[in-house]
Amino acid sequence: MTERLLDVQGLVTEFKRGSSQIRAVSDVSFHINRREVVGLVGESGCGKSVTSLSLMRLLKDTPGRISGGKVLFEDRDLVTLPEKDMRNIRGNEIAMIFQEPMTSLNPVLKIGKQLEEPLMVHLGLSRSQAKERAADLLRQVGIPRAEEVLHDYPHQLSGGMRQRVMIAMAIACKPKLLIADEPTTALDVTIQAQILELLRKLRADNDMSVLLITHDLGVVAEMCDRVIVMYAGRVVEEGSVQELFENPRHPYTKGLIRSVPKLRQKVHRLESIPGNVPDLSQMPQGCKFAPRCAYATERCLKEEPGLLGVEGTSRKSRCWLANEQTWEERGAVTDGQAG
Amino acid sequence: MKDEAVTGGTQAVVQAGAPTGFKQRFGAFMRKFVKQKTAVVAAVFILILLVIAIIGPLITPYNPSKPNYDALMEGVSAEHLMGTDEYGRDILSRIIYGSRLSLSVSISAVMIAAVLGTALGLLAGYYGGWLDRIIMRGSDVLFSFPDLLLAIGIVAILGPGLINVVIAVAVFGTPSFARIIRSVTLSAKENLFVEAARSMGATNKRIIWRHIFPETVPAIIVNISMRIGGAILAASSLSFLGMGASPSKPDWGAMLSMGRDYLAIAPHIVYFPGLVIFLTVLAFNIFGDGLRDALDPKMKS
Repeated sequence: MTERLLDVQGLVTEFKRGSSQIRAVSDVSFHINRREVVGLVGESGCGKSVTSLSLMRLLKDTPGRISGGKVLFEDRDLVTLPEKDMRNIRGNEIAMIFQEPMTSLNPVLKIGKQLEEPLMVHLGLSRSQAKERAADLLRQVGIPRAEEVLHDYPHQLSGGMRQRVMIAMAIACKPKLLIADEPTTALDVTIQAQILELLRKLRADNDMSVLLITHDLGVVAEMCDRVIVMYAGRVVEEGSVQELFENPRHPYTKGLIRSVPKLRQKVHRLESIPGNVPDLSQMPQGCKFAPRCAYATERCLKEEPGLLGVEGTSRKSRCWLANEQTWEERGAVTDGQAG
Repeated sequence: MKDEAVTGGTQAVVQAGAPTGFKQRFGAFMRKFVKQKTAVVAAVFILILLVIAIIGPLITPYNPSKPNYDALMEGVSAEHLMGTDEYGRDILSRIIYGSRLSLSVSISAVMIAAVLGTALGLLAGYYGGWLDRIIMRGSDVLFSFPDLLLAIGIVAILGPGLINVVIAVAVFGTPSFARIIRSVTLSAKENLFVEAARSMGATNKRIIWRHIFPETVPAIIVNISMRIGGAILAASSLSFLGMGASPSKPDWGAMLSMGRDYLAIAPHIVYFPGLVIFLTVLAFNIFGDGLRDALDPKMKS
């Protein structure tokens, strides 16, 4: 049952800056099972979005290039697939929702016209069939007065409504995988909850897998089965939501979780992770998180750990201390070195 | 269809500078354009000129090419409002007929340039790479010639005649369209909705036509109106130099050229065609400026 839908192996994406190559994504491996919701979390600039764009091969207009690794989608390697076949997959088998619902719809085309696009491109429907289906889709994503909205321009809709339209476009061809790149970031909190609820419902109805890219751990806890934590273009920890939140095995994950305010807990100051994400062109030697890590040892500064399995679980962590039992045992060796 | 509240919201969005649907865009454009009085005057002048050109044969008092040897080089009078030329032909009639020639030559030349230049600009801007480099370096080569010199060169190769004038003027108009549309395309393709369309599996052709081309339309319209003035001037200049319309045709440039010989004894033969060329070119340029101010998104804020 837990067949792998998407299997990313050692993905490397590099950007050209001047004469040097910057690695935005380096050696990223993860998989998504069928009907699974996987969260991809990390700070801004850690390579989440570049990873998702690489999966869809949408880097064409950027100086970026996939320079290594495989992206197996149902045993087809998306990295080497001809552009024509790739186009067939985009929107049809893998669809994407973007962060900015305000700008991801074309302002001069009516909603109906834009919704009909994927239907006519991929399903070969006639205009009238597409029109009917478009209204159906709008109802599916919970838009009232669907027939009227088809004749509206994007500016006549609110942000939440627009994101619903984007979702309707994304699920138009019943994709197997939906990549949602921070789908709720630009929306206000009540709308966020509605959109997440909608995504959850659609996932169940359509048997989709979802890759949810976010930096909101609350969203992850609510939506996901499994979580992948990225830092500086690398996967630093992977595990089920339950395990990861209860017992993070990477100091970065721990820091992320601790920096979320908690209910019923009197804290005067929010905790934060000291320091900044390192510049991609000036990566520290050794573990990329070591300069900000309270537990870093000599070894951490010199040698970068691989993605180590955690004994007795399916979890993985890119930390030399991944298999230590509790955080107390590890102790803060170089406290204050960050900064 | 929409209730009041929604319309109010729309208004606010327009003011925030967000792009909107066609009707709203057009409304906003009209409001801005009407504010520019000189541009409106120019637009009215152009409109009158177009009407005159179209209904020309109905309102001309005389046959424009029929000589009248009883009235050679007559000055301004009640019978001949703009006088007569060296063959006794009525200058007003010739100017009215000439407006058909001048406008059709310049407008068709600019339209050809617009179609070619837009296509090249879209391709160059969208695909980039070597295609972009070839198209843009080609444009640079054409740009490096003075407009009129290039046109003279082309007519010299193709031979005189109005069709060749159209071709020549179109050729030197094309690079300006290519360059402008390329730059608009470059910024238009950065729009998230273009990326979204690609993520839905839209083909390049579809993206260019449905998502990028509409963004370039204002720039195309503005450039067309700006280039028509120059095209009229160029076509007239070519005719003046004897490379366009044959001197017997009532072309404004050709009329100037013919009248030049009689400048000392009958200056009115060149005054009126010259004045009409001047006013027409001025009107198109002012109209183009007005359009640009009303349409150009960069000037909006």
